[in-house]
Amino acid sequence: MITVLLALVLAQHAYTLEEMAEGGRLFQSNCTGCHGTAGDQVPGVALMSGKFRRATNDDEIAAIIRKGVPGTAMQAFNFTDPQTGAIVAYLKSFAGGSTNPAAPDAPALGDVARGKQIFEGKGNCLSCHSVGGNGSRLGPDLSSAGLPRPPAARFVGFAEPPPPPTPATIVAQLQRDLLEPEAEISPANRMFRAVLKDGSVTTGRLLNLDQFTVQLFDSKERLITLQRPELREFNAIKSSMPSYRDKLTSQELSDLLAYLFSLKGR
Amino acid sequence: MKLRVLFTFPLLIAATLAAQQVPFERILNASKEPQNWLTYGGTFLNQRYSLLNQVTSDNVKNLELQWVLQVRSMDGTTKFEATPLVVDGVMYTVKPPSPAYEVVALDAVTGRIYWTYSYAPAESRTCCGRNNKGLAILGDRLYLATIDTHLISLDAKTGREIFNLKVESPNTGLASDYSFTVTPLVVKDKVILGPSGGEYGIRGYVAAFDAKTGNEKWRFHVIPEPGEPGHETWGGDKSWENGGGSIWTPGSYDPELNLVYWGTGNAGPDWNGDPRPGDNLYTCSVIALDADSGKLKWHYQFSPHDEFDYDSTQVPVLADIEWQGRPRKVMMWANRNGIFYVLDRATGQFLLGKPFVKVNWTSGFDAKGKPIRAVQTSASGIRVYPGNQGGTNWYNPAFNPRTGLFYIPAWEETSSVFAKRQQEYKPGVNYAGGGFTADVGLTATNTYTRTEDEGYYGSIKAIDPKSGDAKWVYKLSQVTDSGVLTTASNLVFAGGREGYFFALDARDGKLLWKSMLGGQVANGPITYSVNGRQYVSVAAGNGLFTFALRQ
Repeated sequence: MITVLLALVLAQHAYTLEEMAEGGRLFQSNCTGCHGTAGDQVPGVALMSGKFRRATNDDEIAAIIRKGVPGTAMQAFNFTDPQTGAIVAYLKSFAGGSTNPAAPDAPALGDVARGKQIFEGKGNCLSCHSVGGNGSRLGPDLSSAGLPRPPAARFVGFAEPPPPPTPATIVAQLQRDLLEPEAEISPANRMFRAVLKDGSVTTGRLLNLDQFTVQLFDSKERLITLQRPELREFNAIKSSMPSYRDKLTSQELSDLLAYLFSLKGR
Repeated sequence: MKLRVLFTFPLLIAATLAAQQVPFERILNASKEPQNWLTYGGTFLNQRYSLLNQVTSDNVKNLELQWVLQVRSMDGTTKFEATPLVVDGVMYTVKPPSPAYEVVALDAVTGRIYWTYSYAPAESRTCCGRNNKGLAILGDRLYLATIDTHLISLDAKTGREIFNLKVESPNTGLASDYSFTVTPLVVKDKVILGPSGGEYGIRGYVAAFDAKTGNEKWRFHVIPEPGEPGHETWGGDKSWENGGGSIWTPGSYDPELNLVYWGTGNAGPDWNGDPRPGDNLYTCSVIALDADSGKLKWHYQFSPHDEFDYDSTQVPVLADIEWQGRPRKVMMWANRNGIFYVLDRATGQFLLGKPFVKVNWTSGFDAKGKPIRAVQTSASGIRVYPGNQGGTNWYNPAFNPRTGLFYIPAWEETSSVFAKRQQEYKPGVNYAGGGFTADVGLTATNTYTRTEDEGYYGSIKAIDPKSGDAKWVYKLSQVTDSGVLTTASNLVFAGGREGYFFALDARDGKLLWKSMLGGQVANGPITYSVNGRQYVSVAAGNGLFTFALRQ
């Protein structure tokens, strides 16, 4: 399925998921200063739309990256051929791949730039999340939301490890996060509510705990430690994230998915 | 008091010049000199029980740090597992070979180093970290067994290398599938040890080497060859040749019976027993060998035809206790398979077996004490309790004759899904025959990666050996790789993955004192005394931390 999906979105070259992810990392660390995380910060340029003003194929895009555009702020970058190809693959993975006949159930990817607007505007995502340091620290940092997640159970021994997630799997996970936020929350992102013996209540993301203490990142963005003997109650609570099923249109959800999938920074 | 020390010091030097520092008689009677720590487990009984009683349940809260030995940092899976030795105010310990061994002799009062010996081993193959459990001493010599299967003898006074002998040759590339991580056991004039490598298709053994020359004196193969009794428990095509049975924790010794006892590792391939139909003797067993000849006197197999990596590489704990109305020489054993055992150590007779954590692989024992297997493995996987790392592992337990209790570092409610796979043996290639999912990682992490409602947890568990029942449980929020120390003053010392080192009341498990050491505890604490002052030492992370009462 990976091959089919990539073959569709990358008409000229076949790239692996790893290469696309590497391209995403290179893009996020080298290009977003001017182009923005959604590739739309330079007026008139929308790198993830699939349409390029000065290029009609992959090789021409690669040439622009390596040589720059004289007379503009676009400098030449000293990437290797495989690195440049990976960036092209990453950019083109958002273009026109809104439906995938080989996997009709896979969620559709919309427009990255519009998704970014929803993320920062209507969706109000920055009130809890951040991307590249922009936003709230309370919820999970989504700077690398589009990268594969570590597997939940660790598989040891000589047997083959579970296969790495396909792009479709990652997109499906992101979609589920938007529609059913409670479905999968990694231990590092769980919210807890502590009631101290004096009756005071603290809620926050659980950072760490041990035999005697609990470390929280509380709702006021403070790093705090509570002593276990002082706790009357200490329980996991529901995530405050709403389901976006009825809050966004299906097109808006597709756009938001495309934006989240594009986030491959560290 | 300081004056007295000054005056006796020259006399001490004069006395030790004449005689060997630690003749075998001293090790034999180690319990009579509780100020020292002469073997891995304190004495040949491996009880980790000390008669020192200056630190008590009342004053243990006044323990404070005296010194720290920092070793160079180690790679991710390697842990500071060595139990130090203390001889007349000098401590000896060894940093694991990550990358090089560093043996040090240091002042047990100040932590200042007298000498360092380094050895960078040749390319080696280990499944689970470049670990080392510690040194042995005899006479004026220290003994170190290395991961490139060298047996090294050092002058304990100077650190000078006396011999450095290679035991196994590389079988593929530059490395051998055999490696040594064990603390050698010194008995009379012999240094006894065995190899790790159960995940690489080795054929395990216990071998004795001449302490003076390093020449091999006897070797007992854990897996019998054709014609030997027990060979019939290895069906299949030459499965015995690569059947595992590694040795990676030290043995114990009963001088009256002249028997050495060793726990043996799992059968290989680990998770698929199909190529090796039968019980697979003497893997996952305790073997009792004549200390002079290496001949097998008796054996008991804890996990016949193991498919869950339940190495019986625990240290045999020996004690003479009252058993059903009469004194009996017993061996107590909390096994990785989750069951606590009491055996007669003269005959190997099974006296008691009772789960100390959740167990589902067996439904009980037959009349002879052989466990009845309750789960069958498959390619699609089956959930088994305890998990792959076991209900406990190599972490040394302790037995306190005063309280009569046996203290176990336990992993509670852990499970793994085991899945087997056909795999051909190839030298140099991990020969495990499948895989497993683990709810607990192999090493500690510094930040929180689990939720408490996942079920598993760790504990220090006090078992009454007469019934196998838990007298008390001190629950830990995370599992532990720490050993246990217990004292005549009713204390239990242990640590955990979170970096705490703590003292419990040996009678009821009440927490009395704790200290955060910032790295996981993965060795057995020891206690010793110099100039009348009692010390407690434990390794955590990359350091060895030594405490004494505030003065």
